[in-house]
Amino acid sequence: MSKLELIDVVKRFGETGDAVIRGLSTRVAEGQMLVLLRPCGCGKTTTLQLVAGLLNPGRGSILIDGKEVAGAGWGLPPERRNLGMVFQSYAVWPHKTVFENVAYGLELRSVSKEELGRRARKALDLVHLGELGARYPSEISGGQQQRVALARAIVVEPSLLLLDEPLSNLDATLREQMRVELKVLQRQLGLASIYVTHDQAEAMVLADHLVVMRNGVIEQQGAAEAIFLRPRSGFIARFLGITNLPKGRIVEIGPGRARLEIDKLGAISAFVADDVRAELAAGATASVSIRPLEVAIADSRPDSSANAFEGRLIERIFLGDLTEYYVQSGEMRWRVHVASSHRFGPGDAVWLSFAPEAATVVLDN
Amino acid sequence: MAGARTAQLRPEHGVWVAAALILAVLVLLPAYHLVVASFTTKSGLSLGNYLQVFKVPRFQEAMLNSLVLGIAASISGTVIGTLLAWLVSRSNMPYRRLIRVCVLASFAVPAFVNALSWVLLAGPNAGSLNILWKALTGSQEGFINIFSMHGLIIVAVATVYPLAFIFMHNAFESMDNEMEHAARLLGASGVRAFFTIALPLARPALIAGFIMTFLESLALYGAPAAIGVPARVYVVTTQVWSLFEYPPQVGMAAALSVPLALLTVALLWVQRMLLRGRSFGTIRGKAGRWQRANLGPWKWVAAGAAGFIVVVTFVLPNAVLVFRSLYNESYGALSWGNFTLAHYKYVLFDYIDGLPSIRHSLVTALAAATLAALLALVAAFLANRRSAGAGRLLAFLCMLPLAIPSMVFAVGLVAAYSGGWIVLYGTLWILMLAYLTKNLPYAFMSCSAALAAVHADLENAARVLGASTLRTLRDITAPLIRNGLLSGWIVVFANSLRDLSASVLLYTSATTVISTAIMDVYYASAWGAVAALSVILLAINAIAITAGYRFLSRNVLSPNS
Repeated sequence: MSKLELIDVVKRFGETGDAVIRGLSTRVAEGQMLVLLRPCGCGKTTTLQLVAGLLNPGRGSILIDGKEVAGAGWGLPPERRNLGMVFQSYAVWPHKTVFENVAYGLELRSVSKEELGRRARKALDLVHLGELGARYPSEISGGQQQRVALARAIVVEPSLLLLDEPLSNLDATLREQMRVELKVLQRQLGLASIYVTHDQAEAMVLADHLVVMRNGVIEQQGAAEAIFLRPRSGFIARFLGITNLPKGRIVEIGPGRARLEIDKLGAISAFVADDVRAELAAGATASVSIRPLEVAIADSRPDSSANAFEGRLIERIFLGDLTEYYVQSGEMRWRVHVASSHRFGPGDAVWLSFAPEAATVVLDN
Repeated sequence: MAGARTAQLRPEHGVWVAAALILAVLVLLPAYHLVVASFTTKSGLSLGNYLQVFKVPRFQEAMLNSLVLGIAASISGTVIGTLLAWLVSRSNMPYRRLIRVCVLASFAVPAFVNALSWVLLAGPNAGSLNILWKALTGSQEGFINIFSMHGLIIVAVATVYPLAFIFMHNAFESMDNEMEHAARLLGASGVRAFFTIALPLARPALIAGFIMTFLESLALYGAPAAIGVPARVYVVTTQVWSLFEYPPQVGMAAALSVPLALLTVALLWVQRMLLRGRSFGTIRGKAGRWQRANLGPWKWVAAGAAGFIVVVTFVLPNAVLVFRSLYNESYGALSWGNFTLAHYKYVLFDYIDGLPSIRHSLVTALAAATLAALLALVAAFLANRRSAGAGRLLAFLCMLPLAIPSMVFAVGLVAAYSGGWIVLYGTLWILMLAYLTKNLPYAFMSCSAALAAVHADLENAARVLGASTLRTLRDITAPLIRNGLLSGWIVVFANSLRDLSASVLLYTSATTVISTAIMDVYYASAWGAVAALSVILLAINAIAITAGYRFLSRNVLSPNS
């Protein structure tokens, strides 16, 4: 049984307002961290607010631990759902000490004084804030406030932990450090969680199950690696990392393999997933996603390999471990990543090539 | 930002509905009765009262005088207030901080006390200045007579100019002065930059200041009663009062009051239209350190002029109050032996209305402030955190009293509560209702601002952890808005203490308050008592305000400080 299940949830704002969430269906398994990734805009926070009970769905239903907690136009209030939530603004109460903040949820559950003290201190230790219990939020840093918010949410042993972009207000190094700590903590506690973010690096580090959303619908969901390697659409391919995205017409298409004709470039042989193939036919337009690391660059035409194209090198950018080449081939400017021992320069005539397995057919959007 | 907009019907909805009903009764009932009364004549509903109001010469004259007073006081007051504000805020005039404190302090003095101290200063017979003049020059007559239209205008200006000062001071303080800088770099002198850059930029505040001082002057009662009436210069407010002399002609009074209310509403609407779309007075730039306009040697002239204004409008009147409260007036010559506490002893112990009126004032002010704070909190919470529709309605009801002058509202209260099933006229309740309703807007604005500063997530966090809405209110919201609530409470309390224009229509011999007691002894020409009671009122006022500020600033923990 899933910890959380969303079935076809729809939420509109206003009378005839545009649906912010249209038909959202997904589930979170026991101990799993689901990451909701989408470009900035509304829809992410709305999803969390629906799960938390701060909003009610227009249609669809929400189940926690198999029990329906919300349906069309109704829902159990937040205080009856036993959830934990970490807000983007941390929402740490300024008039209570760190300890009082963490202990509040236990107070509400009429826990005995010793147990309250024990559990609160344990939660604070888990987030490495053990010695700061007596401080006020105004006396600690943003990163520490965020840990207080986290401790406060987990101390009540909720069914589900909701995290609304908790790291977005931290600086870059702290963000990287915290997301690993978060992942470790979540694993350690075995807490089913929903994490919402617009940062794709964060999403890929944290997700057991990744859900990519756009315009209120799920574009693709699955393991982060699977989505990265085999994106469904051009949007997802670009969103999850750098990619080359030539666009063309499908010449032939079959299980696992398709061939496209790209204007001014030639034919590309690529992998096509079954669900993508279901939406395409010969003659339709589509794009192909090839990651920069998959493209080989040479000074002469490679012998094997179906996909090989001639081009001219425009720019070379040294990135440290990698070197990035911009190559003009056909009407496209290709981005190619190689180990930095390579030595091509602007103006060189080069050949780009990649294996068909490395290229993925994606839907246009 | 999406708030917690759950549409479920919950028990706390009863609280919201109750609040809405209470507000409607508080604000709309007197307004309704006011209008109905204005159309009620001996022969049933008709326009008779209005016809009288516009045809009878003394009413026409009163309306004309009100307009003249309003226009003269607002123009002069705005000019003085603007000039002083610029000098204090943007120039290097010496002693500007002291000037500012004095102007703000004079804002805190009740308007009618101001008028009375002017009578004690410049009344032809009893005025201290004239007494001094006669003693020094041996002449039979004084040199200054406050009882005239000119005198009335001067006192009105002295009363309302601090309001213009506050508007303009705020505007100048928060103005991005880079534009003035640019003008000065191009060669414009400080004064020229003021007239061509700063003033036009501050136009929204200028308009607001002008309209507010005009409305304030129209609504004055104390000065027209103390100064206008003896000079036979009648205005609308004093005429309304005269219509309440036995037997009270509530219908006529209502018909006279309604145009005043309509004018107020119209002007406030005009102001809103003019200021719409602009961030009024807060062109947020780098309003930090800037180079003040260097007045050169003229800065001493400016300080002298500003000092003169402040002395004449604040120092002198209040000094004469204190002096007259301690001076035995039966002695003509000045000497140390003539100082006495007899006046204080009289008003506190011998005057039959002395202590009772102080007690009544404190009780009604306390009740009004507390109830206003509670109501405003509920309304502000609904407006800020719950549904937008009901919230807007409640906000409108809470702010509506701003548009109705105190005296007009009092007429409505009398109309509403003098007969029928609830008779509150003659009790302290009706006084409290007047103070409560009149000051609701200030309490509401305070609570709204305080709530807006508390992020909804702070409450959401508690609810997700398991706290019910009421529990969240108690544990999270209430402590965090405490300062805003308190400052609203203090404003209502202080305003209730100083009200005269409503109290004078609503009090009876059994329910005097400090302000009406002062007017009573004034009409008895007991100058010492007038001064002593006024000083007592000023003292209570000052204690309330400073105690409030001390308390507020001591609370470092609250995010609102």
